[in-house]
Amino acid sequence: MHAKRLKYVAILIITGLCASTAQAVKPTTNRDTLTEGRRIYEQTCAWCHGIGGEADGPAGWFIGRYSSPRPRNFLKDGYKLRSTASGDLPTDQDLFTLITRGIPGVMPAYRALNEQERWQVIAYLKSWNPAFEEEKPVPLTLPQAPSAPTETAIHNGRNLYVKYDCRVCHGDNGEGDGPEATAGHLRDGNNLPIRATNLTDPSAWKNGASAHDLFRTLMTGLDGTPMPSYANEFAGREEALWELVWYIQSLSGQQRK
Amino acid sequence: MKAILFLALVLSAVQDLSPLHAEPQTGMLVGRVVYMGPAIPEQVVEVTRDSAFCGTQATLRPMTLHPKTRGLEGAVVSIDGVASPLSNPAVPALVLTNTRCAFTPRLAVGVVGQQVEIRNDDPIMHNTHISMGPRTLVNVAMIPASRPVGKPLKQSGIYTVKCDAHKFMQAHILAFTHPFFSLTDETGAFRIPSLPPGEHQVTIWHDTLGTVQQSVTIAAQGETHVTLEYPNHADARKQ
Repeated sequence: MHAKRLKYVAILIITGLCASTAQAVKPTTNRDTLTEGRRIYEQTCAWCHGIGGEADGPAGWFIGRYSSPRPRNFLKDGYKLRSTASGDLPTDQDLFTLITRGIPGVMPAYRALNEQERWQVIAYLKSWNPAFEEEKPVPLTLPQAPSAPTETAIHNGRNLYVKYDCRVCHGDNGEGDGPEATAGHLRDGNNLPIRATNLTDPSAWKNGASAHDLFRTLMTGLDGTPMPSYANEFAGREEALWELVWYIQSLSGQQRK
Repeated sequence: MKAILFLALVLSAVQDLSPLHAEPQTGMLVGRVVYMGPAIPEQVVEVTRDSAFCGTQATLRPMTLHPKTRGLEGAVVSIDGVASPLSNPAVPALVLTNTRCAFTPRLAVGVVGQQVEIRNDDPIMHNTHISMGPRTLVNVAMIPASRPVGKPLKQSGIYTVKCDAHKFMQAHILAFTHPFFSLTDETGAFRIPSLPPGEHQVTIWHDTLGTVQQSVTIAAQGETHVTLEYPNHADARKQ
């Protein structure tokens, strides 16, 4: 009975993943792909990102006019949400995941587009930035989480939270009310005021709320924001980074996922 | 057949000796960047973080002028549009160190593809954030005694270097796709060798005074001397 239930759960998880962010068969980029990508883009994305991808769509004009986040300018901006090193472009899979999941509180999930349509849109928006032709983004290697967190591990994570000055932006208790945030010192890449993430509310985390999502965010940083990459500090010390991840998750009473 | 081969060899040897295949003539631009306007005074800003180490105030120096020559230190002189691909892209890394709550150097010049090596000598954490406009080149946490972080310059232009932890820390990196650039020394002097003779547009950039351009004519041989004067900063258009 127990095994049967496990099997059922496993099927649900796998099906869910396949339906959400797994890499579908990516069409070759050719004129037809771009034509179709453009058609879909202009129907679904241009409202915020603008016909020419310059973040100047009719809704984009209002969104983020006075504070971050603005819609992405596909010609100029870097990318916050990636699996690659700081300063690198996202992988195609990163873009696919982002379009599929959306960004909580900012951009809707576009599961209504079928996977081929999502790939076509990705091909089209990449065509605006020649850096995609020149650079070959490589995702960082993210290890599997070790065994479940212990009280000691979470305590160690708290020490790292203090040591790495996370509290300066995110606050002592992770509520996004650190001294730099409350003083209004935080700015994004367009010099717009930006808030520190409230770590007690995972539903608003733009880069995902699972332990792996947090681990990835700490490794990559969020380009275009003051959130730096900690990849250099934790290279070869991944165990310590997991402790920090578990501590951050504990701030919201979240169990490891 | 042998005769044709012999003739080809002779022609080839003659061509090698001809003046057409001599080394192209090049000249050198030698000069000084001066600023005759009123010096912009230092700014003192409050330090609100890590004051025990950084001090309670930081002094920002918008310009450094040589008292005798009025030479402007830390201006970048460059000549674009000369067809000369970089012959040796394997240049040493530009080292940028967080030291005593400041970046050293405050201004670095390099070529596209060159590594920037970021270091932290301070006993406090810094956050080195290098960007060009809204696009980040790298944004890394630099804890005390951390290992250096390397990143290649990806495109030409002006990179801004900031520490998000200490707002008063700022530096710039200028990246070029050619070797025709020079950074002025404490007397405002600079030199750019290996330039083809003829008229060129010189660009001068300074982080406070902005960008100005001027034409120069490089002599076919030897040194061409110029004095490049920044207009009064109120008239200069900062870019």
